[in-house]
Amino acid sequence: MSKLTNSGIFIPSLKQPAASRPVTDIPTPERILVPLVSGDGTFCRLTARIDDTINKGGIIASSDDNSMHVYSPVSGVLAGRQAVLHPIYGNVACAVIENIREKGEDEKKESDINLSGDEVLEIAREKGIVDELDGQLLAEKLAACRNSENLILIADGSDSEPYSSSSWAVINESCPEVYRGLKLAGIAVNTNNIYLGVRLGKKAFSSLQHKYMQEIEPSVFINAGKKYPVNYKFEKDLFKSHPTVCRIGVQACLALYRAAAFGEAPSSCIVTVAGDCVANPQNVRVPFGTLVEDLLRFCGLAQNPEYVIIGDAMTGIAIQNTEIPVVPGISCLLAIKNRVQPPAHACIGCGRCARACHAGLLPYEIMRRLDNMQYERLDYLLPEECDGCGACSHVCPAGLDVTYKVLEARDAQGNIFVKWGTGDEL
Amino acid sequence: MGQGNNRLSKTLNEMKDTFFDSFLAKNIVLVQAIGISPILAAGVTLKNGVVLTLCTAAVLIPASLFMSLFGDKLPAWVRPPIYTVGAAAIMLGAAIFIDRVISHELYASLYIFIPLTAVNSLVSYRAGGFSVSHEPVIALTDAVASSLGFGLVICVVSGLREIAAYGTLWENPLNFSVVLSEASLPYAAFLLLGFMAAFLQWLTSVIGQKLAKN
Amino acid sequence: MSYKTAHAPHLRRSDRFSFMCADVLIALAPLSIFSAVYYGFRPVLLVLAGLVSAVLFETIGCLLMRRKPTVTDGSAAVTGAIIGSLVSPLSPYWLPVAGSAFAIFAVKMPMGGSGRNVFNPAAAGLSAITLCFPGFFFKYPDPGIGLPLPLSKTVNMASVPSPASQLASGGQTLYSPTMLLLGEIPGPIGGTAITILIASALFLLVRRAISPLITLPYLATCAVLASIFPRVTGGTAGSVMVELCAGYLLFCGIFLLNDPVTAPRHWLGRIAYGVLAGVLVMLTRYFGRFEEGACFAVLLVNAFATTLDRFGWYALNLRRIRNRRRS
Repeated sequence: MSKLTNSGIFIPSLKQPAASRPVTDIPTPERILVPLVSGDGTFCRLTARIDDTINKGGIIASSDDNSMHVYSPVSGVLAGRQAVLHPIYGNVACAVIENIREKGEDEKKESDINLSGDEVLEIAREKGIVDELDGQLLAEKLAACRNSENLILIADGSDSEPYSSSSWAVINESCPEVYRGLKLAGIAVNTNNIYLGVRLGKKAFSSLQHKYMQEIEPSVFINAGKKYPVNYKFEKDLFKSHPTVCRIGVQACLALYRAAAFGEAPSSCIVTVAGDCVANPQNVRVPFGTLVEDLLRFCGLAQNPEYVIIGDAMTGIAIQNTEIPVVPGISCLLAIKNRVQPPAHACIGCGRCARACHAGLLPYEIMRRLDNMQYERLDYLLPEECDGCGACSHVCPAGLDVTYKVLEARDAQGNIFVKWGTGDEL
Repeated sequence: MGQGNNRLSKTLNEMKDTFFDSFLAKNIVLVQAIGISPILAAGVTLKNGVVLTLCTAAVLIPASLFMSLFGDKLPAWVRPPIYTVGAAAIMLGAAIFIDRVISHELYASLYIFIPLTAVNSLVSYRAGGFSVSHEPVIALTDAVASSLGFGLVICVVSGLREIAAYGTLWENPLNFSVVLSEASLPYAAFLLLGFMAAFLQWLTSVIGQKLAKN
Repeated sequence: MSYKTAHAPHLRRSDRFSFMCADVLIALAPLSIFSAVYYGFRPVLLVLAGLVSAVLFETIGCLLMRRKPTVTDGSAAVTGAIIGSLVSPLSPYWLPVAGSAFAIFAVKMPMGGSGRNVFNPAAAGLSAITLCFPGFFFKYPDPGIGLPLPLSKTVNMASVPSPASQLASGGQTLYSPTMLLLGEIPGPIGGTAITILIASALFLLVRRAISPLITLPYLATCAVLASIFPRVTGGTAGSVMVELCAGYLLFCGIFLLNDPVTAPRHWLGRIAYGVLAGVLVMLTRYFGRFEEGACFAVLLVNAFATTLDRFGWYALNLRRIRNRRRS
């Protein structure tokens, strides 16, 4: 029965033409803004001096207890500081790096990667690797599920959201490295059940298995279902005995491998730029801190967009201002003119949101309780199990922002009265 | 002397507030939804409505007065039997009075509802709840206002239903061509009560806004 | 440069409530056309009277209450058309109009208008006119005559007993299964054409405007009750056949119970709702004052919809909730 209820939805795939194009590097931007925030969200102090020349991978800021660092993604001159209102970090200070030099990649020697779990976690923490699936620090995510029994670790390259194809681009480009990074993560969480999830047609899937036969066992690849949000649970036999699933991003796996083998801090990510206003939708490799503006200019705008969205269409954040740096965790950028939204209407009770919810919640009921200000009833409806996938809003024929309401209920859990006042003002 | 005046004006103010509350703002039928059953079942003609109002007042006022005087001296579990038995005694007299003196037909149409007034939740709620914790004057005001509030609602409902169902008002024919005989069914009274309750809410919100502005 | 903001997700399915209502109207259209084959143009006019008046009343109501007009979503049109489809072809034109007026002004508008009504407005309007003007109900013309009804003045037309009234009086039924399926029986405008009703139901199922989780348990419950307590001689199968095809039981299961606003949303609640509706419909038939009381049963079961919905979900998630309370 749970299969009947935990269903998810089908959404159209809008990945073409970006998915079939090769990854391009963005030409060196004039200036970049590096948020002085470490991977876990703590604000850092600038340690490099202004007007200094800094090298790629050099430390430019550190947290107060000197455990976390911000690394420079490029080589250039530190020109100053600038405050930016970032949609993910909020109001944050950024280091401005100008006069960026192209530096030929010097051949680095691959070091031995026979590491213990603790060492892997330490590397991931030190280099501040961020999981692009949810923007969490990879080390924290791995440490949290470290001691679970029967854990399955999946590097999720399925790109379940409609536009993004960046994970697939990464796998296409450097599958063996991703696999090595995934192995390291498997050592860190102490499990042998590691899988590389992709979403492909049957033919393409078996050709992928065939291509990497030498290095990777074919059984490591698993094919995700066609539904959104991504759900690997259709492989029944496997998941019956291993109930806990941890998903990490493929870019994070790649970064983990690079950090372990070459001692590199992650400095760039692959971003899918798409949407009906983009002239050349494609996957672009950008250094962290590149402005969204530059990225859009590089891909070209066919028409003036009405919405610019950081992240993918289902979970992304619409931004008003494009002078915002790309940070770890962003894997998609959309410029959209036509955004379909049915005219807002009172909830008509079709129940489609409940059918769409993969967590088995009642989104309409949570929304009703919130609107009726019956906050004490929210507790029973388990809004904290929502992961904000956006499926309920997607299917709503009344055009309501169901997901937003449920997330509001989730984030206000426990302190809802603080948030809404004590009632004295009524 | 001044102190006495103060106390008097304070009591008067309280009486005014209680009266207004019980009569309209917290109308016993329309807001607190108590004592609906006689309106549904027996409030079919205006005459019935008036008689039921008088019966309710005749029970509620002495019961409230008695409970406010002696209620707090009695243990809580003794109170309901006392005012119920008292109310039943009053109702017995009222029933005989209606039957012998006023009209036998009226008694025949109401004979089951008059005794039921004695055990109406309205009486137990006001006499057993409100009156015990209040002074006799306030309790009396509340009893009068509650009876009047109940009477207002039942008279409006029963009058409208009489017009709709029989085309008469206080048994005077009004010569309507269309008669909705189903208005004497309880659901019509439910609908009327619903609309009246909504109207009262609207009225209080409008008055509240005006008061808040001043 | 400043761009617009909006909440995620930025990709929505382009379904609308108005599309669902349009589907229901499309499914209702063949029923009145079928009736027109037997009785001439009058049934179509009756349905149109209900529809147009409901739309008109909804507009007036929105203006009076100073609300954003909700006519365009089509729910009022569906309400009016359903009321029009469930009166007798002999009834006067003002009857569906009165039903629409009650549905919109007494049930829909005071509750907050489209999307907020607790009770199904069509069922309520129908109940009101059934109670207030019982003389116009349950008087059906004989479809076998084959003459179109006059467009006006039908008061003195002869009427024949419908299958539902025969059920109420017991004994042998006059109608064969073929006649029942083909709809050659006296009954309300939209309630008799069983084959067309099934086709409409399939259309709505494909369009996802109705839920099989309500309709199927409802019909199953009615069938089980009809087979256990038959009211006609002729065996279990005959009893089930006549009970399901008589009156507007099937119509009610397709159009009245599946009103999304008043039905539960969760699948378990929907099944319970269907079963409860079936029991109540059969109870109103067995013990009711009228030969067909499905609209009253719908009103009763509407009152339980939210509770069933919530408890269905709670029953399935007891462990999760308990874990949450413990932590």
